[in-house]
Amino acid sequence: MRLLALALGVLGAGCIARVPEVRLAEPREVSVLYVVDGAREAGVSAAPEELQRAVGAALSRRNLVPRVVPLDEVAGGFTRVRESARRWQELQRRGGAAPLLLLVELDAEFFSHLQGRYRWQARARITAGKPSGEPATDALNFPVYVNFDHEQVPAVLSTAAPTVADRVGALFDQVLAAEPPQG
Amino acid sequence: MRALSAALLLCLLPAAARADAPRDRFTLGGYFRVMARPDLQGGDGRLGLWNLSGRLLNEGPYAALEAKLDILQDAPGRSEPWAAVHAKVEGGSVQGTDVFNGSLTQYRVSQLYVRAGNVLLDGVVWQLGTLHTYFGDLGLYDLRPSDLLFETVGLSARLNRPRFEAVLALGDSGFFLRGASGYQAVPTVAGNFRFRAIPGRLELGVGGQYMVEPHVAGSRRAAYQTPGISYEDYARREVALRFLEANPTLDLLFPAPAAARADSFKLVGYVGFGGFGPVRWNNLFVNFLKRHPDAPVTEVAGGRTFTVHVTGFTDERYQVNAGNELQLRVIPDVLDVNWGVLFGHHVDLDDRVRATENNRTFVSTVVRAQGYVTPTVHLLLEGSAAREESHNGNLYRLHVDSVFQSARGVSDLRGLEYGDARVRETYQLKGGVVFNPAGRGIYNRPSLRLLYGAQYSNVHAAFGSGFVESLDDANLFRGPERHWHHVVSIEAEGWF
Repeated sequence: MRLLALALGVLGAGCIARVPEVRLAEPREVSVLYVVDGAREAGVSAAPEELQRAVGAALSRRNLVPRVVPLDEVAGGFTRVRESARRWQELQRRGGAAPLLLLVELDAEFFSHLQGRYRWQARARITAGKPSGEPATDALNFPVYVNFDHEQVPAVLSTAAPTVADRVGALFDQVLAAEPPQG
Repeated sequence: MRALSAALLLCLLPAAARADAPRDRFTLGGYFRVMARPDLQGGDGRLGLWNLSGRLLNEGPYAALEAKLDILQDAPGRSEPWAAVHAKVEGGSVQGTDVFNGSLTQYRVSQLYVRAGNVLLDGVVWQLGTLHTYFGDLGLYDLRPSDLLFETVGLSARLNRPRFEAVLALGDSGFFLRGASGYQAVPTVAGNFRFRAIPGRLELGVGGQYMVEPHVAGSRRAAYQTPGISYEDYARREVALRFLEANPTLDLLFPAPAAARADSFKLVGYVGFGGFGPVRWNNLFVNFLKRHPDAPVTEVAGGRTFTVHVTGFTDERYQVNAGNELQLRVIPDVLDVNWGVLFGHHVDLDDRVRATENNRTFVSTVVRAQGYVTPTVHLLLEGSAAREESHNGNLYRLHVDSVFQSARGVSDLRGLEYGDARVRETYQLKGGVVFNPAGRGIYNRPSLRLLYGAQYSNVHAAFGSGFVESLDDANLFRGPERHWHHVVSIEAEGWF
């Protein structure tokens, strides 16, 4: 009997409910602003293409259509102001008519050469929501390993792309799940 | 104009303190490798003897923890000093996986240093403490031919610019080199320079390290050579015995040691290129080094312990080592291949009588292919061929009863050789299923692996084992010859 219970328990583990991905019935535009901050140096730079593609794919799975706000338009001010709330306000102004906004702030700092791999510490702060109202936020602080010395911040953030994209998707699942049912 | 107005608007907002989330002051990273490898052929769970055949299945358990604490955190773009302390503990034992059963005696504090910047010189990062540095490593072999300052504690200055990186260091290697026999200062100077000729495409590097042991008159720990003795007597540990035979009752007149020069060096070179076609990256490392002389040895003869100083017998040990690893993306998202080559030529100009690993040449090649069934389920296949040749006679045993093969069963009790062959050849083939939760990539981790490996060697039992090596007729544990070795492994490896 105990063996049977154990077997059922093991088999049942595969039936543990997972939070489903939200997929909208109609496509909806998202204004996205990526900002990569220098960990030690001032200045901001654009997120690597690979990370933008991964985040774009996570949004597309939810029937969200990303429209990237060029960093050039805000880079000067963002260099001096790192406060996410103010950056969100700026995105609200520049988000156009998009019904949803996404701000992805990233940075990466070298940790050490550990057992043959280059360990970096990456950070991401994700803010998502509607142009009006309180946005939802998520913050990540996680290690990223790359193989070579020449792989600097862009390569590190490209390596981190799946992690960041997953969390962006999960955050939008929360944002969209909080909406009242349509129809 | 819009960008300008946005910048002005942001600057006009009330001056709040930096409101982005503060960085954690404490960060912990690490590495682990743990496996279950039941060895049904009497071995210790490793396929071969060392990582000349590639590290896969030839390595044991390992764990490392590295902590970083920001003592002074800096604000980005500011010029205030910053400082962080790093400490690393590592070792090669985990309970149930090796003979030490996770004993902490197998672990050590391998690194402890403070890094600081914006102090005295703009852009220079100072490191005080342990100083180990290297251009990169050969992942297939788990070797770092370009490493410097492994033995040294001291101070280094590192200047890192987009096109180059330069390191200059001063320190002391005495406790590492002389700790066991008593500390003697070994001042060390080293430096390396990496030139990023085409950033991300082509890099060149050179470096060097010099260690010298100044003679300290009156110190018994200083470098000396016992005069008037032969290398062969030293090799047999019979210096004192020969002296007493030649000078009975005059043991107090055993030759007094003479001051000797003890120094060593290492030169390293590096070429890295990649980022074109299927070539992800290629690392080529070369080094040329002279090993530091040994500490004195002791011998017991006639009921008395004699100290034999051997600086002059161990000060001409040179090595040339070169290794290359090519990483190829053969079919994107389907198949990656890494190809490694390793060469070593080691000579001991003092030792012309013994067969040892100080006088040998080795060459090896390893190829690993990893195919991606799905992003997380991979198939791995690795093959290797290695050849080691002794310069000073036989060093390897081809047969379980090699004495009958090499000397017609008559053992040479005075011999300075070990076996019946100068050459050891080893071939390995390993393969299995790899589960990589983090996705594709030969070096992507964590990895959960189910592997099988087979080794063939011309040498008998070319793997760590519990076999009795004695050729004594009274040996109760005489076994068959073993040229093949098979290992099955369930293992996990990861960085965090």
